[in-house]
Amino acid sequence: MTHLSPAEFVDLVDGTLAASRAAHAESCAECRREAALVRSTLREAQGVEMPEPSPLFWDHFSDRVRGAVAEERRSRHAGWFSWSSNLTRGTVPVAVAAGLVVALLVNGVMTRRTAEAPGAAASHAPASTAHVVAPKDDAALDAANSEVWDVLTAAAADMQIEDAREAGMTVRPGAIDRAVQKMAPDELNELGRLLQSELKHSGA
Amino acid sequence: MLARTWSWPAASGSKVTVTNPTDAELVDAALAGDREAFDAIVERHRRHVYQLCYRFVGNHEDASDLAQDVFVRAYRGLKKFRGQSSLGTWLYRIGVNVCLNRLGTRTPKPEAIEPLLLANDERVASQAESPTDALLRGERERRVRAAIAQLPKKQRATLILRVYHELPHEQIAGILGSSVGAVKANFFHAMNNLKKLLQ
Repeated sequence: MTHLSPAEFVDLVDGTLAASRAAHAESCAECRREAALVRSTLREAQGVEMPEPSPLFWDHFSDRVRGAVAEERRSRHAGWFSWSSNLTRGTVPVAVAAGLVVALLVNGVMTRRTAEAPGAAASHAPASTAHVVAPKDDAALDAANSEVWDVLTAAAADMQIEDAREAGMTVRPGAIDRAVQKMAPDELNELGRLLQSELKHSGA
Repeated sequence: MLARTWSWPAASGSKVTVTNPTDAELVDAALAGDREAFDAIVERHRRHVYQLCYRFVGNHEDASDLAQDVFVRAYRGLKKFRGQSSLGTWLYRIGVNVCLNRLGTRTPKPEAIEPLLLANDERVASQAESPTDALLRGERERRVRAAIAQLPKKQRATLILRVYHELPHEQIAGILGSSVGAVKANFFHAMNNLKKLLQ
């Protein structure tokens, strides 16, 4: 009868080897010696204990994982903000505020277009017509936007991106890029000015 | 934390509510946006994951870093967890990969006696063991750990999962992506190599 295979030696040590093969192991000196070596080495390995961490460690560990996962979640959510990724590193409230600036400006652009071409789909209006608005309407819109801006910046001051998202203040991926592309030059200038102003105030 | 009620929307549109969730239910809740569900997963599996990492690297600092990495990767890949294996097996698989990758890039630091870890070490408080015996045992364990660290990666992983986590060969095969026969052969060769290294 052939000697035990490596897998059969493991079964022998586990006590799951078929009876006929186990009988061979009993009668074969070479297999017996090999099995004894496996058993003694296994005992040596089993004798190496592992120190148990302090119970305090587990809470600390969970906190660390929670923090790392939150960071992971934040960076995932920041994907739609990649065009201004520097803002999202350590200056999340500023990033939220900046996003809201864009939303506000987009809202302003859409409102103007709707006012200019009633009944027409705002997204189909040519960008070059966005600035053709009566000064009186501009002043009224600016006043209204200023009020909305005050409310939004106050709300965003202590808000994290994920909280803004949960509050329904979300922007679809690519929407910001598209909105910015449709802005008139003076609107782009204003956006740049506002972002620079926010960055300066935040010290980012 | 585990005693609370967990709710999440089911695929049918109805709401599922459970009080003592299974791992699969916690995964569903975590995927539905319940942050505490993932905390509960961590709480449930952290000990095994940490112990696995410790057995690979042999020191507390690296083991905690690696264990944290395992859970972050698990969070990242939770959507891909299909439930063909248990969550524990899946976490072990991530853990083995993380540890083997680390071993490929860095030599583990030699283990030091760390005060944090000794807090619960019953052997330290034991009156039965003389200082000489404790010293000899410590030296023997150090030699075995050093020998295990020299084993080929797959043999080492098999030995750790079998001897220290007492996993069945079938589960180890699932974790390592091998056949059961290959796992048993690996284990046998690990024992033989270990014996040679200890002589």
